[in-house]
Amino acid sequence: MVTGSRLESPVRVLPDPDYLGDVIISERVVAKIASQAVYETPSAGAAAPRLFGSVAPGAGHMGIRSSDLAARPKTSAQIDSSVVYVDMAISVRWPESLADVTERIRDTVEDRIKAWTGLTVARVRISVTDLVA
Amino acid sequence: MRGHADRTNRTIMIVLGAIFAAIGGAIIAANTGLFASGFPQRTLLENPAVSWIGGHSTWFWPIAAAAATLLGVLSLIWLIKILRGPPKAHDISIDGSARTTVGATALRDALTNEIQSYRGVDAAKVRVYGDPIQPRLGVKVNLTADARVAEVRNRIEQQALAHAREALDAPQMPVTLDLGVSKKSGPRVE
Repeated sequence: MVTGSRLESPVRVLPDPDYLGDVIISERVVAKIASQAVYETPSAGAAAPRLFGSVAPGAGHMGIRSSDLAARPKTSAQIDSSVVYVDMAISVRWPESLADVTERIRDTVEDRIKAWTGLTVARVRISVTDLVA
Repeated sequence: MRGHADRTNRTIMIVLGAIFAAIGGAIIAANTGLFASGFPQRTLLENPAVSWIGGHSTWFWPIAAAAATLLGVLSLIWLIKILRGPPKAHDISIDGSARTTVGATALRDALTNEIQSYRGVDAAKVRVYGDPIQPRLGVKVNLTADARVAEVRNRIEQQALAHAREALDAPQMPVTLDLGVSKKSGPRVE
């Protein structure tokens, strides 16, 4: 039985048959792509969090990251329409040139995100928070 | 780091010294009777300045108190500035912008660990200060009593400090190296 209210509902617009839907890329995916690029750089890796200027006590236990050149660093990404802003805190092998290592990472991150997601990287902010001998 | 305010201190001292020397010179000159006759014969409180202050005492003393307070506050600020030392750096910029930074604490820890691992070094303390684009290092090293000072110094300069300059790509980064010798001797079997 058709009720009156149903008849008054707006006419359903049929979708464009060629339209296949949106592709939504999560910020976590972009962040993971960036951290993978650091992981693959031999002279850079994860950095332990710092508390009042010193490495946080308990780093390496209870899920707290420790500084390790063979681990993925903490990264975050923010997507604004089709532009990505990436932030990361990494450790670098001491005493390698920080400018060289960070530039290499930045290039890799920008290329990969562009190639794999089609998003444009506006900025990759790299904070070196630990130097590992 | 001491010595950061040397130039300011020197300027203030020179200015104060010049003022006091001028006052002293004027008094000596007055006593020899250079300005006016009769000055050497007068008693201490019998002079135009004292009688003028006495005549305007209603507003002179409050203003004098305010000026003295201001001077006191300025002196206190000066003292605090000298005792506190230069401001520590937080993040050092690597490419001249805020895009790539290295934490001053990370650099401090890496350099301290390297110097402390040298034979003949008892303790090391590194301080990173200056602005983010042009950091400066203050390195204070305590050597063990039996260390070969010249050898350790060479090693610090040619390895640890060279590494720091290399990592930051700053071959001209100024470093103050302060070496001391502690009473402790290095580890050995006797």
